[in-house]
Amino acid sequence: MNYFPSLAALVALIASPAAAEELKKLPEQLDPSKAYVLVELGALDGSKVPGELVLARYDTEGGDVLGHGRSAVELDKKALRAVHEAARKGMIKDNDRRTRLHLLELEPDLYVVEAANGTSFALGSRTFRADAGQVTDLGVFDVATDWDDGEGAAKIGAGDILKMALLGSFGMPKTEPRPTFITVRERAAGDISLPPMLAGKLEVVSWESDDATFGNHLGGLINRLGGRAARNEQPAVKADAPQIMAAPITPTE
Amino acid sequence: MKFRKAAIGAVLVWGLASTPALAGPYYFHKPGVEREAYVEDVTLCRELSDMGESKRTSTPYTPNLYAVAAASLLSGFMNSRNQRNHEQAIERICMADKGYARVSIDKSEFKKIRKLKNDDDRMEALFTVAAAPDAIGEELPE
Repeated sequence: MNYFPSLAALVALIASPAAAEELKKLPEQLDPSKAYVLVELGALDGSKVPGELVLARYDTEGGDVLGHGRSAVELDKKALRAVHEAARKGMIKDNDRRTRLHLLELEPDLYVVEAANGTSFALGSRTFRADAGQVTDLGVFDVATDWDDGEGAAKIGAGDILKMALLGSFGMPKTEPRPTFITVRERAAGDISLPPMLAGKLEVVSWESDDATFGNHLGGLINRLGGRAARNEQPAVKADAPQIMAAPITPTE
Repeated sequence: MKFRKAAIGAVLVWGLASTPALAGPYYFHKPGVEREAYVEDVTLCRELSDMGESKRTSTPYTPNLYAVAAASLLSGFMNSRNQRNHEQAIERICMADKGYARVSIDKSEFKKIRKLKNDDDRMEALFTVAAAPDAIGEELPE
């Protein structure tokens, strides 16, 4: 009997990610073995529906989310789920602007902005490296519906409400489902004030690529991160662009 | 060769699809598109749409067996329709992203192409309309 593990099992063992999580409050101390990602996320279309963001570990060689589809890395079911991490709740809320500040504690790796509010950015998204002991600031993300020209949210009148009451979902106004897109900008005055603990520890993100593609592993609608407006744009960030290495966090006693 | 066979299958099913929800068949048109590029685009978009999973409607609890049967049947139809619409929405977004316009096709023309027995003939007929300088039907919304 062969007691040596197969190469695939070894790769899976090495690549098996530990749990990542969205922090609900600031930790007393940042773990130098973890990577931290900070992002301020606006509500969907500025409405009361909070923005949701999913980041996933990215396999550049396979051109897919780690362990999924074209990626040659083999992971078990639990590890496959842990490859994706969502920002949902937020740590600090700005009720007037309907934005939330999220802090994610992740395994150090290359990440892709995988999805927002049910839309997977499989047609072209941004990747960035989250290194151990760093707090990477992704900036401010605004999530909006990517309407076609002349389209907009369905206007519901009294007749529609009556129809819905009588026919349920059959009476709903017929609209085509539309994906979402994200507008990314750097943090500026007027955004949520950062906790003093993070002062001096933030490193502004250095995007490695803005045209990373992958499979539709979350099963929702698909789009480019920048939406239809970004369709004909040439990638602005090349994957082989020189990267600015940020200073690591020094653990405090 | 294996890739090509699979891709032809994809083109025939997805490059020329009939959508009851959107009333009438349509195809994707891009003037002058290369055959290889067309097959690649359709194959990729099919892969992405195949991975789509629509939200499933659940059947409410009832102790009445007849009501359970009727509700299950109805929700089965609903789920099937939702899944088909969801996959087609993904396919349309993907093909639009690749620069294709969605164009309506006459039902008789649609049937004529689908009736072709030979894979290569169907592929040729389909590719001819997809890459033609002018669309043969009306351009539809994405």
